[in-house]
Amino acid sequence: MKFRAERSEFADAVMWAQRTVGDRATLPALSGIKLRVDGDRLFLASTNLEIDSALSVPVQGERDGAVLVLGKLLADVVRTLPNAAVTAEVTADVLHLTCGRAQFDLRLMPVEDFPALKEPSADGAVAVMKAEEFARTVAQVARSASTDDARPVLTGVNLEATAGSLTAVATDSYRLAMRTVPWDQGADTTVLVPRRAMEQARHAAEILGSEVSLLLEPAQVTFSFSDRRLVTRLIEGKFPDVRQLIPAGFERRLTVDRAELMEVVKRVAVVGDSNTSVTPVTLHLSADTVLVKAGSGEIGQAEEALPGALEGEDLQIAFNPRYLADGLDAAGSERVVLEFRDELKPAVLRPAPADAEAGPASSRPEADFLYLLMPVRV
Amino acid sequence: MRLVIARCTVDYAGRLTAHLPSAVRLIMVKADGCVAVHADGGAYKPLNWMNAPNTLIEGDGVWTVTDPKGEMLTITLHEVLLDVAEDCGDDPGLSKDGVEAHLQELLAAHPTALGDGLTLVRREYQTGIGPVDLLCRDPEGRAVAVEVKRRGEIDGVEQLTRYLDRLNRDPLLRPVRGLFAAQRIKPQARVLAEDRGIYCVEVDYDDLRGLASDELRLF
Repeated sequence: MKFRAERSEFADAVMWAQRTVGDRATLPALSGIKLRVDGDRLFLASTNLEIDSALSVPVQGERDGAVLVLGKLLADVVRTLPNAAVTAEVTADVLHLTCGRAQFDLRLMPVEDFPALKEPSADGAVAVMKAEEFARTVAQVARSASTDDARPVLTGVNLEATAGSLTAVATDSYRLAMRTVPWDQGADTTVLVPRRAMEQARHAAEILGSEVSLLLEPAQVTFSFSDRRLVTRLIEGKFPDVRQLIPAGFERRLTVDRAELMEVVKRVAVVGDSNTSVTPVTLHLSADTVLVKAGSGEIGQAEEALPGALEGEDLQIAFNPRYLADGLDAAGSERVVLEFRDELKPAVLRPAPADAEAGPASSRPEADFLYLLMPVRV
Repeated sequence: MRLVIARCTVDYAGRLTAHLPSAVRLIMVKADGCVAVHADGGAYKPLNWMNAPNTLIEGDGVWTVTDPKGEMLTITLHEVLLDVAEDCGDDPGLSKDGVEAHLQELLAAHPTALGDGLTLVRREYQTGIGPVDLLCRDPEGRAVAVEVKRRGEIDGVEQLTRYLDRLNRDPLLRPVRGLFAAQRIKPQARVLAEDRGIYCVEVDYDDLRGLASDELRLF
């Protein structure tokens, strides 16, 4: 195998493949990236048995062939290469990389040990989304997935496709994020995709732009981009019925500048950072002011007020500052609407309607993003 | 449990192939069908393993382990140094200090986790032959004797039966209903309990701990 590639393209491709290299010491082949040259294209593949990555980049191919090289080592090497064309040539069990005056000899692994990657079904119904919208949806939702493997179903993003819309939901039982986007496939399907796979797909969508094709199948999901593909297995188990958690009504409704509230929450929460457990921030809501307080006599205290329009009676309610800031960050709009029942019931956060003044309580914003946040008892 | 120490080579074929060259290793075959190949190192992690359900075929110096997913582990035995088998019987499970007591404490604080409207009368209620973990009252005012275990097995049901027999002799308490609470109740224990009119409730220790702390959750 022999090829010549642009350093930046080759490095980007290796870095991307490296993200799904496995780390199971008992299966050494998983720690490798498979490189295959076919004509003037270099194909890279890696898998951790959960997510399979495949991509190809244009190269100047001189000799076809396939090799398996240690992923981390290859990534570390290409990251440091000077900005010049890269020549790669295999002799016996060594990959010789030359870039400018730098030369590396990397020992190869048996390529036949590399597992066959999962293949999407050829006749499946593929839906196409704008990459920007896909990336934004994942960014808004996936952060609410749990990182605790004790409850695997909460570590994924539930994708529920119905005629005309796709709803992505994630929850760690303290907060929940839900976004609905248009969907050009009619078939009803629900899949629970590992958060890591969604994040990897988002990364691809962000760097490549254009469009992403999604193929939802009963046992796997495929995300395809112009030059790369991710196939992920699904999380087994039933995702909780989360729609019943969304309150049907509210007693109080706050409209507030999103960026300003987020900044204040982050600033005030600093006094809790030295604690091992997260110190809640308390929002003191009155007709036209939001007073944000945090801290205790032992460590230090902070408070800051900002303007906010409250419909309903005054309320004091406390939240985990990180979860509140996550929701505000995810909403993305200029202003947000927060709906409350009382200090112990979940609050609903939505982007405020684009028009300058919030309408009466009855005209709820028909936003496609919703963040449900459980308060903290203080 | 069968333990074989042998010089062997091991080949795995499934979604990928893996080969362990010839060396002395421990092969563990558990009663549930799990097969694990250990080296003399690497802590608890086997070099190769196949989770049950498996089919183990012992050929002449070659063991073939297959599972329904089509994965295959082939163990070629060059020299068997030890081959012993022992029936370990039922495992009582991991007993962590304090967990059962903590479970009892949590259920005493949140008796409604055992049944709607249940209120605590007292913990460790003496019966004359030992204390029953919790004595509660249901919404109709009837007494409910609760035995709390980490793992619900037949001996726990027998224990509660004995307590109920004693408690039902007390005219101020009777009729006393039995409630058997555990993180996991074995099917045989459940059948025996329900046959004797004892209610069974499986409780989630982690959820209870969540209840005990001030953490509010969506579900």
